[in-house]
Amino acid sequence: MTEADGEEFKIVFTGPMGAGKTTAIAALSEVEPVRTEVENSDRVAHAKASTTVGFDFGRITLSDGSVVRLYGTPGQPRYRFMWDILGRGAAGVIVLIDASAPGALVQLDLFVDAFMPHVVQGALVVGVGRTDSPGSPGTDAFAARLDARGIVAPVLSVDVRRQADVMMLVRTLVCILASHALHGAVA
Amino acid sequence: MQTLKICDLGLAPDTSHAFHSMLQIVAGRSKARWQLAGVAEADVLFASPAGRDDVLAAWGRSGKPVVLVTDDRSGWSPATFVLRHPFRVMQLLAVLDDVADLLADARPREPGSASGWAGAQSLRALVPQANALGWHVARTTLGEEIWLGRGQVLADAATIARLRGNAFELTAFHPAGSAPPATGIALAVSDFAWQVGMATPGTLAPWLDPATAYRLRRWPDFGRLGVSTGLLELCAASTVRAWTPAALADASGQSAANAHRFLAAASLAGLLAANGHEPAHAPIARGRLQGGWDRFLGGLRRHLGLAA
Amino acid sequence: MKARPAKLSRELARKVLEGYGEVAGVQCAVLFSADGFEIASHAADAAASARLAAIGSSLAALGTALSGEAGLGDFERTTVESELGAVTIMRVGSSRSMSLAVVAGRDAVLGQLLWATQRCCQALAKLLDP
Repeated sequence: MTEADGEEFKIVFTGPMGAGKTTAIAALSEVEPVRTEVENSDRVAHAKASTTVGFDFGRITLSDGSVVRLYGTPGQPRYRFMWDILGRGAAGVIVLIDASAPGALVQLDLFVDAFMPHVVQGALVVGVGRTDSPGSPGTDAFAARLDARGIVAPVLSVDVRRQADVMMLVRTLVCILASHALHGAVA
Repeated sequence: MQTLKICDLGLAPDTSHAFHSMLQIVAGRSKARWQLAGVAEADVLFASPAGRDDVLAAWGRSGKPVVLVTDDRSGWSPATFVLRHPFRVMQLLAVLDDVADLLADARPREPGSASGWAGAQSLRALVPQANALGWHVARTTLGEEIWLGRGQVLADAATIARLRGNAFELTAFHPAGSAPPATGIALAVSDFAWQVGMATPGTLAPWLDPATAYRLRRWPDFGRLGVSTGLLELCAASTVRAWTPAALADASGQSAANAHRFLAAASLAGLLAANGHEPAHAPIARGRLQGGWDRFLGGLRRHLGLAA
Repeated sequence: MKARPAKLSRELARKVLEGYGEVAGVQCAVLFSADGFEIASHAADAAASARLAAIGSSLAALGTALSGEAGLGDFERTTVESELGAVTIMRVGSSRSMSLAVVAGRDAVLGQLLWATQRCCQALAKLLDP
């Protein structure tokens, strides 16, 4: 690959089942995404008809020619091994949370814990959906959760069906990566 | 009897004509003697929102009263003195007398005229106590009211729409004698504080120190507030480390004015932390950097040592 | 075919696996749903079969994606050959809701193993989706 081809790097979308990872990647990807969805046999735990059991894969090209590979993880904890496989070598992680789902704040902790070891320079962005759902915690509550752990990461309200919203998450992540590269503490 | 000079601005021709005629009719019946005058000499402005922005802004800075003439029929009264079009002579008389009372009043006028920093400064003092706060009110240059108290900000939809992404000026917030009208839309205090900060003049906020390094302790929710590339770069840089205002502008490639607005907004919204005095940093060599957000991406993979 | 069969069916399935487990070299076998839940198992403790079910379901799903991508129709089976043996994941029946994972040591003869596994899958399919 020549210099002119631009850089290539990998971003992982993760978060609990139903948060919209598959939807987000489908909204953003330039190419038809690879999906590994199967029938959800446990409708008691989650009403969704389908669930990702492998990973989602999509791709976008940025304006300077850089290619970003997008990977979506399965949401359920029994697929934790996939989180490690997919997290390896990721430039950054976007955690998607559905604010209207029960235990949403705890879920944030779970995914942040699982992926922090993988993210270079702590490049993490949290996208929270359905913040307007009555009784749901707002983005401030999720941000406070990160504060309590000494993590400063953007927590942004999004609608994962909207390409512009998902693109905002990616732009924010790339900005953080660039800032770390330019200004981060040198060992 | 006091003589008061009044000027109309931005009215449709027939409204203006009607106004002038009515002034003659109310002569002798009002508490004050009213004279038409130009903007420069007037004591009171009789304006519609269609009036020239710069004139309205200059008037707002003077702190003199405005009578807002509006077509809006919704219940919510956006300003202290409002006339709904079309209006009758008796309605005009009532409003003019209210204004005359205000100007004749021996009590000091509401603190602060609208100025670049009056609203922001007062907000800064009030935001930390916003949850327990009794109602305070401030006005925009158009005379629209914005209420702050009980952990929220209230204003009408049109006012809120104008706040977002635009320059605006506010008088200082001062304790309101009453509660806000029941209509009107609530805005989160921190969101409002952010927008006030982003609308400030672009100089360093009076309460911030050029020799102190500031960092972001929490990101604003750009999903709600809207974002630009420049703002992302300012936030990202301020997350990685603390910067003095000048160093931040340099490091992020943003103008000093943009950096200052960002710092004011973050500070008002409670998102900024100070790191104490730090020596000024030497400007960072820019190398490859051109304009736009994609400029950082060249060499990123190399910097981060990532596999393809 | 229901993705998660009733208890009686599962018990019967376990018996089928027990029989199959006699095949030379088979160390354990786990029947699992497409979304990674164990349905029945032989010679694997609860924790191990849960993990095999999850990982197996990922492999089956990736195999499906790969076959589709290559234009080769439906996924049938995949075998991971390792230093000390092999793991085969094979679809059960024509629906996509179940697969069987078999772990075999080096003493298993791959061809025979696959043939026996195929027969086992057919028996399971008849049992669970008559």
